[in-house]
Amino acid sequence: MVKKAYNNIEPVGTREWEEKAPRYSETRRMIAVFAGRPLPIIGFTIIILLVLMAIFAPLLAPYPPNQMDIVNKLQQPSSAHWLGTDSLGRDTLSRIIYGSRTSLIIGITVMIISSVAGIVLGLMAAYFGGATYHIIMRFMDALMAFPMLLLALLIASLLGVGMVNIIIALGIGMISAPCRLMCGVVLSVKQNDYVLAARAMGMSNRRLMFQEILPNAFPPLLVMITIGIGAVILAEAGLSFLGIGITPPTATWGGMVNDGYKFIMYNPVLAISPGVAIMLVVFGFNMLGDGLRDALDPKLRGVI
Amino acid sequence: MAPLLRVENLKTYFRTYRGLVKAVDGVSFEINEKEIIGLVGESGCGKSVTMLSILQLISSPPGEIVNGKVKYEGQDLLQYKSKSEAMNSIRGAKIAMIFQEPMTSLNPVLTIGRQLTESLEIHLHMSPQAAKERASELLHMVGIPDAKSRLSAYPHQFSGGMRQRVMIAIALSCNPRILIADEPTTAVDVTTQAQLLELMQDMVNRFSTSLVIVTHNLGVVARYAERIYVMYSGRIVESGWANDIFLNPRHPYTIGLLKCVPQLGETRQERKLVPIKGLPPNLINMPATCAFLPRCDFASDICRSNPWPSLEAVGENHYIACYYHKSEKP
Amino acid sequence: MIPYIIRRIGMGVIIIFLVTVMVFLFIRLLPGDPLTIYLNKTDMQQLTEEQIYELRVKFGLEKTLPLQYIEWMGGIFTGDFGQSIFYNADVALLIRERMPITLYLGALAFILSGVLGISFGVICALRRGTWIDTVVTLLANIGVTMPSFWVGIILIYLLAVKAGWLPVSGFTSPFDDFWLSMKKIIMPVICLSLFSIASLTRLTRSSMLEVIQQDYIRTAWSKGLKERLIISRHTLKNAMIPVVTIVGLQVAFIFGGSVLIESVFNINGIGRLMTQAVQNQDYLIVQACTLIIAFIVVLSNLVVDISYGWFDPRIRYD
Repeated sequence: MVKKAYNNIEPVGTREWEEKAPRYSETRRMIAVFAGRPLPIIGFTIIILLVLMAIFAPLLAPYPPNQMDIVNKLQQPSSAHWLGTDSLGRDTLSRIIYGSRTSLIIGITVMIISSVAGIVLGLMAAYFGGATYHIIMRFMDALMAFPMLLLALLIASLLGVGMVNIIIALGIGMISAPCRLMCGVVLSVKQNDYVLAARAMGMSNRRLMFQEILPNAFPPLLVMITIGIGAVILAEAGLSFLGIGITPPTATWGGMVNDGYKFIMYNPVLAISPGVAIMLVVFGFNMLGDGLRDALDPKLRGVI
Repeated sequence: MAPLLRVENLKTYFRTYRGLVKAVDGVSFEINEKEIIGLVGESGCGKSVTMLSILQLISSPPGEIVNGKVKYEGQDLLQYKSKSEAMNSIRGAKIAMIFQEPMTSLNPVLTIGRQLTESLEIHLHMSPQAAKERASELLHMVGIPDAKSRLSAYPHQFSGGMRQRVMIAIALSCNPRILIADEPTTAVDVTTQAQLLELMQDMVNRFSTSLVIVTHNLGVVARYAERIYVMYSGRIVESGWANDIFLNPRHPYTIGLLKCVPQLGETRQERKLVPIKGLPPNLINMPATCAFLPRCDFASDICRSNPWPSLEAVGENHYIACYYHKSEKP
Repeated sequence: MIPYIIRRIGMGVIIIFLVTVMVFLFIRLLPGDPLTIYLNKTDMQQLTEEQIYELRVKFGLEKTLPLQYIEWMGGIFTGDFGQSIFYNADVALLIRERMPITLYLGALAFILSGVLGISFGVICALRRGTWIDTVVTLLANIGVTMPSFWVGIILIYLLAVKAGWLPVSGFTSPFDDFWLSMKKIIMPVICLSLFSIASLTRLTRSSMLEVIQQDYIRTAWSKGLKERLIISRHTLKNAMIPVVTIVGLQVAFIFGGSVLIESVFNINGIGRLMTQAVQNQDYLIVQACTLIIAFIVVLSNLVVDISYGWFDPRIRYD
């Protein structure tokens, strides 16, 4: 048998002295980035506190939010009522605490609905392409021609007031962002070489979708949803302020600002405190979103 | 004759959140007039950072030039601040640089003509009209067809090889004394590689510029460089005439490198390609001993118990940083 | 470049068409047809079948939907938006009275937000890490959380009620009394532009920072160009590419915000008209206002898209 020279060549990587390259855990890096800066941590804390406050509202609030006490109306902040009372004698602090429920529910529900609908539409547009793509995208463009507040105003006037209708109204208004994001991500990923490579290996379309494409869409979607909750809370506050929104007597921060506005001479706290609550909550979501974006965005890998 | 550029004991460190990276840890070399130098080393050994440090293009929050002198015509450049007038008049006009990635090194929103004429206007104080003429000539010189009309084209309308030619034209536009080419051919295909290298040599002769070719590809420097420096882990480990280094490598790293490269004319039976065992070192928390130690076939106890050796002569203008050569019989 | 512009205009036309269809259908989706609303408003409950039919014909409700649409669009083109039930006046007239006010307010807010937002963002990026950057960025982060109507209320309380420096509310045309109009418009404009300023600051800053790290900026430095030139010629144009899109979106946002601000400051603009119309179920006004606003938004997005081509040459040859 001919002894071939290359029989003697051992494959590299089997000798003892081969060191293992140090492995830096991706999860650890993400947590390090996220926890390394103060603002995302503050945002995260605010959100946790908010959720806790919403869940345990009955335990935290000193009074039921709708309990009227006309005798004690328009009180200044005191030890009995830390933020005073409104024109019907309801405790402002309790109303703010209960208001967190409304804001959180609306914010999260709207984002869930609009994201699901948007993702589905975006996927369809990107996947089917052609006419489907154009129809869906032009429809989104037309939808975006209406300022969100106006759109919500219109739909709310069409459907009437009430929490469900507000959620639908805001949901429709927020649909275009996740749709375009999803469509854009899928389209750009579809062209990438690693998708071609996976196809060449015989990966089915469905597996491709879940294993290659969706994981790439996940980070920007998550960031968008987080920041979107803040936007929805602001929009809902605006609607409640205009009187088109959640029906009284439910406590909503926007509605409280509207109520308090009339009595700003007597007790500015009535109008100012709900706004501060709105600010804190939106700030929390925004900072959380920023932190997520910095931690998840591949572009920042290794650049710290 | 005094060297045109002399780098003495340059040290550039980076503070990362994992630790201090000593990218360049005591590098000294010289460039004389009208010569072609090769700086060779594997990825991550610090050769690019060395060149960027000369021009003070290191981004300052993580990186910092902590020590050393960069004497251009006798004057230490590191005394000047990075954004100062003095440094600006050196960059582009006296020392120019071309980079590895032609696809991203040109500004996508400006025309090629604009990117060429701006250095002409700034450094040579040419009028816009004269600058345009000169830019046209330069493009023609580097082999871009239809040069005059190409002045108003944008970078995305050029291929990678053409963009690199444009970069060469920009770099040479103000007749610099030194041209630094940082991995100029790594990102292009082999045919274009050959063309670009020929072009660079031609330009260098025409403009009487010195050229520094920074690369990990020995083949590239073998043909063009007169002198070669071999870098490893932030330091120079061997330097000398190109012929000497290729025919008579003395440092174990260089020996290892040459063993990996197939030579024309050999057959499989005559020689095996032997890779250098091990991996490039992590530049954070380096030990004080020789960095090549874990991978060295000639390692001995002297190496293990002494700090990194300094450069010593083993021949005419041939230096290595190794303890091995002392015990070897020449 | 020209094919690009033509294609964008074509898309704009399609979008406007879709918008008109959506607005048209929207009103038709109201519970109860327009006639019932009219009847409710004018209190003519007792009508015979015949009279109801006559009214339906009069309002054109007997025709098929596409025909109604065409008639409606025809009316739009001649400037006839119908009669408001509530005000008993020409809708077009009502809009013509109030539109300039909102446009004036909105334009001021738009210009202010663009100029301040981009400038602050550029300054922060160039002075990264210094106290200016930290403070302004923090302020911007806070600014995007503030509800505009709430800021309005606070400003009114502090500057008008307590300090008495500015009038509480209302609008005066600059042609009538320049100084008074300035004093009246300061607070509304600030409130309307606050969010945009903050959001543009953040965006411009991050865009600038990203561009500064690019290879071609390093090339520019290696050519020995001065810092000022590198920023103005090399960095800014690139950094503005994503910013321009967002600036365009501010138009829609400012229109939305004007609904709130006009309510707080008692300004008689389109926003206020719309809110009242929604509350009064005056659907013709709602329809007309929505259409005009959407039209302006589409137009401004078109302008933004086209200017995109100027900023980014790669798009031109798309």
